[in-house]
Amino acid sequence: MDRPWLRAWIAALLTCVLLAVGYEWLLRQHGYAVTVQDDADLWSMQLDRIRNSPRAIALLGASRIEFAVDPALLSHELGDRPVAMLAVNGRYPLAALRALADDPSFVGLAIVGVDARGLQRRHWDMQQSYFDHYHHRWTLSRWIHRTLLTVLQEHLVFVRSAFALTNIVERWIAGEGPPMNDHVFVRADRVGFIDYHRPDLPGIRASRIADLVRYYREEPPTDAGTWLHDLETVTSWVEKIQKRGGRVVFFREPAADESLALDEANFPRDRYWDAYARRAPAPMIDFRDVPGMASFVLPDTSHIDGTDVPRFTIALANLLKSRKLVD
Amino acid sequence: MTFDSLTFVVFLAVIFGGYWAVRSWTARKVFLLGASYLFYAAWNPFFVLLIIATTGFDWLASHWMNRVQRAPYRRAILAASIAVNLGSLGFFKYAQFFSDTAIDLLHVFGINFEPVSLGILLPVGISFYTFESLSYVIDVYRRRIEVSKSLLDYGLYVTFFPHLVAGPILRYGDFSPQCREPKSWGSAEVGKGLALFVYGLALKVCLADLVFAPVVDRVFAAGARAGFGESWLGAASFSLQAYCDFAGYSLCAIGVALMFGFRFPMNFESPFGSVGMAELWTRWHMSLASWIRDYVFVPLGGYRRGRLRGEANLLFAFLLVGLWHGAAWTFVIWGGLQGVFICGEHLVKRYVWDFGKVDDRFGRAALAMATFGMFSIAAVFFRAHSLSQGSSILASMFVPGAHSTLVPFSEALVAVVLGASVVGSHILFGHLRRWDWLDRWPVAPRAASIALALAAVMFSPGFNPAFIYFQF
Repeated sequence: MDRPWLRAWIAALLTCVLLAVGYEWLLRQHGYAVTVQDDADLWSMQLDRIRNSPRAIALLGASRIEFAVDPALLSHELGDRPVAMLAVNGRYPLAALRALADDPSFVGLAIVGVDARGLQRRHWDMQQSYFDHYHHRWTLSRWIHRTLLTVLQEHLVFVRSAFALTNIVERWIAGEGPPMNDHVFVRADRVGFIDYHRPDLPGIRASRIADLVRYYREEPPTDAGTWLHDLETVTSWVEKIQKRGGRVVFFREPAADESLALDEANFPRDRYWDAYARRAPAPMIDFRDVPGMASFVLPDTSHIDGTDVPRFTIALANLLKSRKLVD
Repeated sequence: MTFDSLTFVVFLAVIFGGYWAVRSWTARKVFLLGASYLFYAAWNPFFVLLIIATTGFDWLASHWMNRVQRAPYRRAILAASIAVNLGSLGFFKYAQFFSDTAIDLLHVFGINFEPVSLGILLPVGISFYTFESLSYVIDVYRRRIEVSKSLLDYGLYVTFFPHLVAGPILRYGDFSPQCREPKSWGSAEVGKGLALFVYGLALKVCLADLVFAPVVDRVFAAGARAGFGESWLGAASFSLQAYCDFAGYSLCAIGVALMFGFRFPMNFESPFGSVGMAELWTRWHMSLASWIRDYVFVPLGGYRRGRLRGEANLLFAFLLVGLWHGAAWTFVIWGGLQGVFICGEHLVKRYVWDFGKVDDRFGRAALAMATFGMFSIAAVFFRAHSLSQGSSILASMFVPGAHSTLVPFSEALVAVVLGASVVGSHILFGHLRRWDWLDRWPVAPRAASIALALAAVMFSPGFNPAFIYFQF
């Protein structure tokens, strides 16, 4: 490199390092912490872990699984078997079950974290884009990129998209202030730990309940007859996995207070969950039937605190062992 | 493995180190060729076989053509090579389009078939390397260039990784002398190449992906009904997104090639500073525009057989440009509009007002902005999912009353300010061609420009959407 360019590059790099250090310091001063940013590539890395292994466990579900079960700990508790966190925050998991049924390489145990609402046909496709991504876009090159990005995100706050300068400027123009600190720490294996020890908890709880009230107002529940009839298709997916030696278990994760009351009012357990449990080819476990599961504190009525994740994971491992769902 | 991925940063570091560590020039070229195949295999290893097969076939065809003297034989060999190249492009890129179009046509005559999904995967960059292969065999046929004596050089011409998947479209006549001349560390412009790479990344990562794409996605979302202002905002933002995305990629490619001692042609030169669409197409995707001129427009007769025939040739060439971009009618209409605008411009200049001769600064700036507006009108069909969506947005652009609130004010403001900066810089600094002026800059502004671009990249973390032109 000729000298003027070399000097220019050294000056530019030094400037950028200073800027990066300053920005990182500023963000940490405002209470932001490092966390891995979840995306379809990170999810695909998890799916890679469990293919062709009869001992594998696929954790399917939405936020209640993703923010409650530690795959590494579960693996340890169950004799070091491969465990993949395939739950996706905000999306019900039926597409994942369907895709695993169609994938001959999956011969392990699928734990499907879902409630009666999530089993409605209208929610079946919510996770399909993740499998589409895996089958059409997931490559070795993306694996390398995602691995390096994860390392950066594990050490630096500013490399998350929320802190892009354009985003900060747009929020400032809109008078929205700095990006929301959601107090969730996500690990490279996609488990999330929510910190509910925060002053705005009552607001979060009220907002969650308001969202659920609005949801039920805008999307009334499918009638029980249609709901059960639709699930015949789900039954065929379960049977497909079972035929090649795999297993499936449906698990209704803990909910509490207003959330649980609203779910029960719209999907009475005896007409929905229990009705399907009587004909489903796979075990269906409601948290209320498991000693200890109902005792978890759910600060926002729907999720456990991050500090409870190890205890919940061990409770789940014990449940699987006691029901002889793992060898 | 896109230029804006961390995988590419590692790849580039390893290949750059390996390339300069090897002493023999031939070994270096073999190393680069292997690296280029590895780069291509990152998308789909199977398609490496396709590119090797077509490369080998065209090289052999050119030698055979060179050996035989009789014109009919030479023509037959040329025809075979063109058929193989266009056949491959047609199968992978257009088979589904032709099938769907045929079914739609038959439906008009009352013959109904169910649409068939052929499930054909599109090899990345096939449109680019096919055009490079075609230009080589055609130039050998025309005896404009010497036949390639080295399969290694020819292979490198087709597959050299910086240009492989999205251009610029090279010509063998420009590239082969560079292959014959061994590169030395002193002759390579590493610092400048790296700087161009970072400038290109900043255009793509910061402006295209984070500023313009979100606005465009909102306006062109399925079911969105944009009013007058937002239709113009969406169309203009897409013009700017396409520019920052593709010019950004081209700049990265030019910069990376420079780091290895190779010079690529410019692909964009401040296109939004152009006065008129005809000038814009001499500064936008220049390597494609010159290819179409040399291998379609001129062989059709150009303007040699009269003005009317010339305009028809021009229109046909632009329809082809549209089809080259994508296998959909929206792209054909986009290309057609470009042709119609240029033909119309020729008429206006000839019979009404030769605005190309305007020489005061403000007049030219106003004309450049009008040209940007015309380009954005056509860009609607480039981005639209369907003809009906394109027509709907286009209609909204000419109905001032309709109002919509699809784009938050903050996003719109940032897009407008930065968009105006891009267009303004093209108008003000459009006279600065190529990047040679950069070498005359003192160290301080060089360092400042690199730091600015690098900071823009570092502080624009996002979700790395693919480059727009990879789909072509």
